[in-house]
Amino acid sequence: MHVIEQLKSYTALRAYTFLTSLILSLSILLSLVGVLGNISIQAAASTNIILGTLLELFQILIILQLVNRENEVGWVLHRFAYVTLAVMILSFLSMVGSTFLSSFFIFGRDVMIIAVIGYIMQASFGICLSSITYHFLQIEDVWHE
Amino acid sequence: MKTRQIQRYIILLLCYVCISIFGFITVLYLFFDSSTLGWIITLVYPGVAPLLFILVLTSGVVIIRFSFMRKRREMLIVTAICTFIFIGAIIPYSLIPFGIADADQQMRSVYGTQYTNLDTSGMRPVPYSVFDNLFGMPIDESKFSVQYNIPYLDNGQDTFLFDWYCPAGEGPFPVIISIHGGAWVIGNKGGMNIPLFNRYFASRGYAVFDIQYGLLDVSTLPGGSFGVFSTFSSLIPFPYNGSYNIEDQIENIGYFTKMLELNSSRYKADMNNVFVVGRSAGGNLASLVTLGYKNPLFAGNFSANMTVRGGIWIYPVTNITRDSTGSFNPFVQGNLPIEEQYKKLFAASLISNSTVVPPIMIVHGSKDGLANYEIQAVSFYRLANSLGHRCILITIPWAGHGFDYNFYGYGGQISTYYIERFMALELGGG
Repeated sequence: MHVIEQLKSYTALRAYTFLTSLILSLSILLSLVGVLGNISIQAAASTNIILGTLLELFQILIILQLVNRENEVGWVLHRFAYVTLAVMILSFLSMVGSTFLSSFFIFGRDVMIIAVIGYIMQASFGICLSSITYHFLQIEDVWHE
Repeated sequence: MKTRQIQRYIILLLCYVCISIFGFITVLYLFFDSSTLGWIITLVYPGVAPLLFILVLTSGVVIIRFSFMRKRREMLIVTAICTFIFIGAIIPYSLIPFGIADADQQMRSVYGTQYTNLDTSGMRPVPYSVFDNLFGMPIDESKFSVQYNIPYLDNGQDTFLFDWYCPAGEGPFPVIISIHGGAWVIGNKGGMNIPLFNRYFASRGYAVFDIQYGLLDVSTLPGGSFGVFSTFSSLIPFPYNGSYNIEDQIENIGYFTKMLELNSSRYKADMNNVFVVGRSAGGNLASLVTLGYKNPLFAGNFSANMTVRGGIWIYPVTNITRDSTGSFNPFVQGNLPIEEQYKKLFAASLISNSTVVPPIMIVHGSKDGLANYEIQAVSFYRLANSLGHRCILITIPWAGHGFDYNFYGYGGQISTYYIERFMALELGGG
């Protein structure tokens, strides 16, 4: 597979991981504040959630593609990327599930808190993954040439 | 074979199954929404498709990485399939702004400056919010209370119940009579009638009554079958001892309105400001209350002193005509000849001989394969307007039947936004 060369550059990856962490952190913060009901903050939170999720997804794909699994740290990063992907799937399924559980009032109450927990879990994993990636970008052996 | 290899094959198999299922669902959603499986899928899929796409994307990545890493053609095929599924998932969302623009235009053309100047403080501020889609709409639970399973009619065979969502305060409050759907043969009040809708409007100062009205027992039908609904019916315990066709069901609803009139002070119900909300078959019954409550065909059926301010028919059945087999006859039988019964029990014919026609809001998904959008919604909308009646059609883009069962989804949000404004305007707001 041909990897886009720019993505392999140290500076671009560093900026990308930093941006991912930042947007995901903002999305958590704005979501929590947005619950208070301010529509502008909610709109900003929604934008950050969508953008952050996309960045996180591509972050995972980049790691899966570029990391050197022969290296110990690379192996850990590779596994962590898969775990983050699994958490992401769980998070999205929790949103779908809680929507229907709430609509049918299965537990006799609105259970959208599950969706909130799901998203915060997903974003937290994304932030950790980006931060670790950011840190280990300096070690050349972790990455493919 | 090593355990690791077996694991890999199992994961790959799951991924292939996942992509195949979502591919199949997308084909049904996009091209075969009128088929039985198609409308069932459209019931839930559009509202959650973008979230579920993560499964497809993951499966695509795993398949490419494990199977086709250096096979360009196969990679392209997997990518194309994933892209196709993605397009199917995202289409409704790309059309939301157009749906909202159309709905806004309808509201403006009917209400003019009354709509633009309406005091919307305390109402939903936007028709659709991604934030609410993900985390839910805020409903202030302190502003209302709920009493469940209050009996209102005992006919010797069955006791009919209702749930009362009562706003805090002295009242009287404008009334919403909420009628559940289910093709006249399944469904119930409560969990199957979108409690979040009832709670939302109770928190906004409406006394909501979620009622039972009786169902037709499919086993009493000739041949004992009513398509896929027979299957659904066999899965859910039938809640009644008797069997009730549409004529009986509307009688029971009429009895509820009389009971409510007698007990209006107890239930804080303002009988001069009644809205009737129904979904699907409940939409048909809501249409009969809206158009029939002052119609001589239903003389004595409803409360004599209530005033229906508006009918809100959500993906309703407005037009069924007698076919050559007469398979639908058991549903409509009554005192009149069968042809007349059809004309009496469906809004498309009933509206022509109704002198009192309160304003009507129809909310319908454009991909409704069960209650066809063109036949049940657009045709009726045109007919009502051609007869000079106030009728608004809110189209939920690419949504199927039962779109608001995902109450926080785009269908639920958009419909709630416009229903709220419609009721406020009919109550003289703005």
